[in-house]
Amino acid sequence: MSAEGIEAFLARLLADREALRRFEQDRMGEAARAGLTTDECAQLAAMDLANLKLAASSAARKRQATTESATNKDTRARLVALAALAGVLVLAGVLYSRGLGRAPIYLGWDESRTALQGYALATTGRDMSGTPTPLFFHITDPLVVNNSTSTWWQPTLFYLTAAVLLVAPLAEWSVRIPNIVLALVNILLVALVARRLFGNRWYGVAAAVLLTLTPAHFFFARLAQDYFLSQTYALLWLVLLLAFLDTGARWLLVLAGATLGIGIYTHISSWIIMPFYCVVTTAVLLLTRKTLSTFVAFAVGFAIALVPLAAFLWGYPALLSDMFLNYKPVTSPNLAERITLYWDYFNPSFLFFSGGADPMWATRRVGVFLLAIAILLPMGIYSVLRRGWSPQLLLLVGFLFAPVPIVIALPEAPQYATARDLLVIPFGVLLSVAGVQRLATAGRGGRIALAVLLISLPIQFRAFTTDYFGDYQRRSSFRHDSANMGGVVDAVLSSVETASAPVIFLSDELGTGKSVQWQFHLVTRGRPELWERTKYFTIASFDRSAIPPGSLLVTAANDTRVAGLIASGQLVVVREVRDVTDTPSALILRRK
Amino acid sequence: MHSVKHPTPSHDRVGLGWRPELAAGIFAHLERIDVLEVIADDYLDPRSHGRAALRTLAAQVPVVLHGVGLGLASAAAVDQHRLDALATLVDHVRPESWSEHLAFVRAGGVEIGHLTAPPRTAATVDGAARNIARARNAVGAAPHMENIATLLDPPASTLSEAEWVTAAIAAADCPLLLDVHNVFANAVNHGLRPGDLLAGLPLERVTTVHMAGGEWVTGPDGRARLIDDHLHDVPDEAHLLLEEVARRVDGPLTVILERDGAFPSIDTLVAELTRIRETLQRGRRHRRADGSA
Repeated sequence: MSAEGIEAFLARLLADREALRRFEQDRMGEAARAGLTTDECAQLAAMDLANLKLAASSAARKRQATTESATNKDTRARLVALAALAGVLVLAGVLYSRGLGRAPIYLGWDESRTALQGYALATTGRDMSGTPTPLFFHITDPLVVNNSTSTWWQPTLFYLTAAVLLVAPLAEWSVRIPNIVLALVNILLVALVARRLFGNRWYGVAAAVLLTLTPAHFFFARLAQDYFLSQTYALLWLVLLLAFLDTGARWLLVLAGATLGIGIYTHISSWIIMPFYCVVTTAVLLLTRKTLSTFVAFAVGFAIALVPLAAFLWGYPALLSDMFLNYKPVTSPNLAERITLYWDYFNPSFLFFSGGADPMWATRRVGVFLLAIAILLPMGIYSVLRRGWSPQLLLLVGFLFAPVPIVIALPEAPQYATARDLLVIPFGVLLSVAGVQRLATAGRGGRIALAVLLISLPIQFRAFTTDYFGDYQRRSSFRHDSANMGGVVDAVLSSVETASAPVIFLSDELGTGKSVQWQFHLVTRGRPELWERTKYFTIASFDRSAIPPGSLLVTAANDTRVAGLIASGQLVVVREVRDVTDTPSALILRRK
Repeated sequence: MHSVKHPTPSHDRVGLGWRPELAAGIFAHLERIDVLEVIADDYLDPRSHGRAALRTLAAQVPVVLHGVGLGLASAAAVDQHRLDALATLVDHVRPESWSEHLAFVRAGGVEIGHLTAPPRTAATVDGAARNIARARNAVGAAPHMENIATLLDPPASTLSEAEWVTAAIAAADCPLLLDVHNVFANAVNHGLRPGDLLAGLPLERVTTVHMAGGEWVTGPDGRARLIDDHLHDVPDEAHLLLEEVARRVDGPLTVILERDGAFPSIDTLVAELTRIRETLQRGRRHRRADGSA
């Protein structure tokens, strides 16, 4: 007889209490009904029944334990970690959105442009120039008729802002919401990446905490600027690529490719970064010996996302040449200068102590990262390098590549331009999680050191936010809006209430983008009709006859040439506008 | 191409069965744990979040995968889907080696949920050899096959346990993962002397040893039996058997302490690892003395 028949009969006895009970009552009969031979039935009937019962109860306990441990324990542990992550996200939401309308103190000119483009899309379905739902936005000065520029901006932030403004009023706080939302998405994504790379849910929570408490992440989340966007796409790509490496599901690669393709529409640096990530993905697929179909899946995803770009280029071929005009690759580089520039972005002083050089982009009293990262990051890099090839190496590649677009495509070689180096944040944080892991597994001393570093994070971050919401707003106000255009609009509105002004002239030397800031504040104060009466004038070639009597003129407060016009009696000072530091920022003049 | 790392340890090693409940303690004592044995079946689902964790673990510590669900020692053919899933996991984790049991776990469409000894016949020797060959082809490396504890003396058997294990291991041409507590339990439960049962096994094929504990229970017939439940401390008798294995086996041994529940403190487990290390060293000293005598 078949051993198979006996195995099947034993299996029933061990797994089915009723079968065992029947066998106990009629051993030979039960075995015979299973189709076994008489000899086999006799051998089964001779089994030690006590042993059989003990074996059956052992098997039952094992089955129950397996089921329970697979459900209860895992579910409980997962819920605790999920609750912790949710807690971090809620905390980040509260922290990041605090005082969004007043910090940064003024809406910068590019923030104002984002606001107005979003507002135009939300209210008319067209951009500020009247183009219906464009893919790329041609950036012009709206106060200059037929203004010819070669500047194009990526569309993503404009459309996200429009989405918010469909349900929220136009205001400083509302136009900053999209990046706050993306910051929370980043925190979630970085947790997912860490969870996959470091194999423990709590490393995901640690990554979420580290990113939340990264000054530069907090800082740029609160600015309505498109520099911030690439991080989300880089992290989403990482999540999808790692998920593919874990599961082998090709649709994840299609999504990873599409993510990089869509990432092209986020910020100009993405034109270099996203293709580079494509190369990295291809290298990973080669290293892991994936089949040709996986390469195809990834390429298809990327290509699909680029179809709209191809269509747009068909209609606007100047887009590419304009892009290259503004961001042309450095063709004859001074190698030493470029290497120095690259190093500057890894200068510990920049990363951990003083941050960026521009007060619009840094408080200058804290680094891109907190001080604890100065220890965790090198440890993480060492840990990743020591391991040889593993997906964690992607973090180092991403970290080291972050400043490359600056080095190869910006002839002006801006040092410490944090905004253009934001991809260093998610990769730096994730590498730091490798450092956390190293300390957490390095014995008691390592765990004590880790505890000290982790405790230092909220303490230093608190000091940073105290400065950020306090004195930093005064220190940085001139960079966000040197004229305080909100104050200018209030002063002009107050003036036109007492005496009407046929035309309002803005000095064309007020500063970059003052016309869009002017327009933003007019719209938020419900006086958009004044925009139609706004023109530029040039102080150096002031022609009294070209200014209708009673018109108001806005100039910088520190423009010494204005004093001559006032002294000659052509203009009178109506109001002096002061900024948050109580320094005169603009003058409102009236043509006699 | 699926892959295990195939290292050849140059010295005896002592490790622990990975259990999530022990994770924190394990990480805190990695310097005293040479190797971790992970239950493969917990990670066969490709959607399992734990797979990434397992890969990370394998990159940090020598990891061996231990299967409990293939049921290779059966006259029936092993489920190809399960084999493929295991092969994918091995490819993903790249463990040092992998192992399974000389047992069947399902038959006739019924899942037993427990390791069960098949009838010890030439037919099941052939069946086991066929299944192990298929597993070797699918995974790319032969499994280390473990002797199991069984309360049942398998009906319709024509071979003793030692004869059957020897024949199956030889036919499959694979290493024997020797669970000395299973040897002890089977011997005392079936009226044999543990040393005699051990001596009948193909010790020249042993590269890995399992150490575990069990509980004495009284059966419905009033007779005491040792249940290999992995919930209790390793008994002295298992240490004596390990010492004997270390005395007889020439090559380096990897000894894994298995604990499935009722977990003591990690310090207790680490102390047990130390004791195992000492037992191994004692056996090695005897071996050297035997050689010089």
